[in-house]
Order: sequence, then structure tokens, then C-alpha cells
Amino acid sequence: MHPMDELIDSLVVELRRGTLILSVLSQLKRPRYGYSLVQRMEEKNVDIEPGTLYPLLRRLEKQGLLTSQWDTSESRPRKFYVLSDQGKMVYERLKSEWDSISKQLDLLMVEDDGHE
Amino acid sequence: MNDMELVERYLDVMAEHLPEKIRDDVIDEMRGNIMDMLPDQPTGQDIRTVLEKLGDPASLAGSYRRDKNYLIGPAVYDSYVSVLKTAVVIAAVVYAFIALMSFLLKGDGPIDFATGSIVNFLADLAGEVIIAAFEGAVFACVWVTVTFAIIERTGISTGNPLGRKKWTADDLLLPSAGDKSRISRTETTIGIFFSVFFTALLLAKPDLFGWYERVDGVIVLKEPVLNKDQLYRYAFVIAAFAAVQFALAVYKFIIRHWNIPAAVFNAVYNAALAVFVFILSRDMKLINPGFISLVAQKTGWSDAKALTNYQNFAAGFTVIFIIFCAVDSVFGFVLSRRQKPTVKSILT
Repeated sequence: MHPMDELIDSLVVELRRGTLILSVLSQLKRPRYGYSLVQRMEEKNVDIEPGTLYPLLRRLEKQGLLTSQWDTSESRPRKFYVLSDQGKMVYERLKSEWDSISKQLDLLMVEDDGHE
Repeated sequence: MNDMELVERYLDVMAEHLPEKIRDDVIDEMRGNIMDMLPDQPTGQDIRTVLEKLGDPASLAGSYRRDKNYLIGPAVYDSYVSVLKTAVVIAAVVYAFIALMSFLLKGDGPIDFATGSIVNFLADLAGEVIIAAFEGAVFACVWVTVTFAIIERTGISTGNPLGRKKWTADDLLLPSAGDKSRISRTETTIGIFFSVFFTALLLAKPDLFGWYERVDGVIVLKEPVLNKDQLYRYAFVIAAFAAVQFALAVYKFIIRHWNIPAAVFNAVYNAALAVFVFILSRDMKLINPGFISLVAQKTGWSDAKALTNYQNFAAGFTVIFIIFCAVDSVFGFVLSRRQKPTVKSILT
């Protein structure tokens, strides 16, 4: 691999990491279990490793953003996660932060292109 | 091997690396996740693919317990390094000094400077001193690390009082030379030095305090001052005082400025120490009767007179000691009340 590609890859990973929590919170307005969330992300072409997502769910729960419940009614017991009230609030705040970041960046990059 | 057994093995390895509190729940959930990821009639290859996608079970388990994974966290790391350096140097010097003293007083016979034994003598001496310095350094490393690991684990460092408050521009002004409330690190260091020194000396080599005489060119111990058996009854308390004093010094290193909790801590410590010194001074069993007799014999006093003189000396020492403790305690409170400069007060 070209050495620049490696650098680009690591920068992309870093860029995505920042948006990961926002992506996860956005999909948990209704309860989902681990793998269903992975599938959901895949459908939407969001690239997230299951090995990253599963521990993240638990961490968000510990931070009080999610609540969880075991559902034993199906053939196999599954743990469902959903946004808590606090999580909903945090999600709204993060979302508006994201909107303003993305607007700022658009502006910065358009300006820059204009000068070239 | 049955292919499903591979999944169980994966989960076993994960379980080994998980804290007990969350272990069962995480494993049950992960088993469900893995089953969900597999097709209905999975082949061995399917299972391998899924497990490899999840990656090393130990590191997967590690990401479930990421928050408290340091022994010494970044919040106190700088203080840790500076206390560690100071304590290692102090302990090495103290231990080396004690080794030197006890080697010189051991009295293996007169040094025969004429023959080559001076070389052996110096080699032995250097050997013992170096080993002792090393022991002291290791001892200091262990204690400083344990102390900071406790600070890290108990969360004292995250919320105050030890941790840093939210940064304000005022913080830029704090460590200025003219600021009187600043705790002098030199003084703290000297404090640690003497406390380590006397504790180590008292507990490890109580016989160094004694009446020595030169007999045929060899220094020999005639009578130690202290009664070792009685002294060792207090060993635990003496060690506890040293430990608390050490903790207080570490605390001062971290906060850097006197504040009310530090002043209270300091005053309580001083009060307890004063009481302890008072008790020691009144305990006649602590003094070796042989030493009193020896003093009487050498001075021509009667035994009773020597004992009374000792009691007077001990009482006088205790009074001075208590005055020092009181002054030091008050000092802490006065300095902690002193206003720190603020940006506003400088700008206006």
C-alpha cells in the first residue's frame, strides 16, 4: 500500500470515530438488540465493527444514555437497548452540534475552494 | 472439535478477562450476538468467520472495561513522577546512610591499615551501602506507587479535593514566586526526608542510639538508650505516623497551595503526633535501665538523679515539640486563608 493511503485510512478512522456515538444514538429511538443494530448500520452503509459496537452499547448504558432489557419471549433471549430520557436529550444536543459543525466545515471548504 | 464448542471457548476466554460484576451478563449477551450473526445451520467456516470478525476475545473483553484501566491515570501522573523521583532519592540516601553508620559501628575489629584489608573494608562498605541504597529506592517505588494507585482507584483524583478544579485564567497566576500560600516543595521534601530517616533508623537500627565507647581502637556499644521490646510495641503506631505523614506530603505536593482541608489534615496530624510524643515521653519502660545506670555511673549522679534528669529532659523536649506542632498547625490555617491573586485584582 502507498504510505499516504495508510495515513488517509487512519485519518478516516479518526474522523468516523467522532460520529460513531451520534450514529448509534440516532438508531435507538426504538429498542434494538446488538446484531439488529449491526444489520441496520450495514443497510445504511455505515461501516462499524460488531466488536466496537457491542461494548459501546454497554458503555452508553452505563453513562445513562441507554436503558436495556432482556427479552426472553423469543426462542433466544436478547438484550434490547433504547434511548433513555436523558439519552434523548443528549442526542438532540449532539445532533444540533453536528449540524453546526457540518455547516461550518462546508463554509470553510467552499471558501477555500473559491481561492484556488 | 464440535464447531459450537469453538464459540464456548471464545466466550470462556472473554469471561476470564471480564470483571466479575458484569461477566455473566456480557457473556449471555455476547452468546446471543454470536448466534444472531450465524446462519441457521452454521458450518465451521461460518463460525470462524464470525469469531474472527469479533477479533481477539481478550481485547474484546478489554473494551468492556476501558474506563479504569490505568494503575496511575493521566490526572495525577505528573505529580506521581515528581513525588516518585523525590522519594526514591530520599529513601536511597537514608538507607545508604543507615547502612554506613551501622557498618562503621559494627566493630569487626580494628582496621589494619598496614595490610591490604583496607581494600576489603572499603569494598565491603561500598557493597553494603549500594545494596541498601537500592533497597531504599525499591521501597520508595513500591510505596509511592501503592499510594497513587489508591488515589486513582478511590477516585479522590477525579472529583477534588486532590484533583484539579476546572481551569480558569486565574490558574496561570498561581505558582508565582511571591505567592505566600504556595507550599514549598523543598520544605515538603525535607519533611519527608526526616520522617523516613527517623522512622527507618528507629525501627531498623534502634541500637544506633546508645552509649558507645572505644575499646582497643574498636567502637563498641555499651548500652542502648531504648528498650527494644517496649519500642517494638509502638512499632505499628510509629509506622502508621510515618505513613500518614507521607500521605500528607503527597497531598501537599499535589495541591501546591494551602487550603482548608490541608490545614485541617495537618492540624489533626500534629495533634495526634503531639499526644503520641507525650505518651512516649512518659513511658519509663521505653528507656533501657542499663543506660540510666551507665549515665549515673559516668556522671557520678545517683540512679534516681539520672532518672529524674532524664524525665526533665523528656518533659522539656515534649513541651518544645508540642509548641512546634501548634505553630505549624496555625501556620497552615493562616496560609490557607490568604487570598490568592486573581486576574481581576491584577488588572485593576
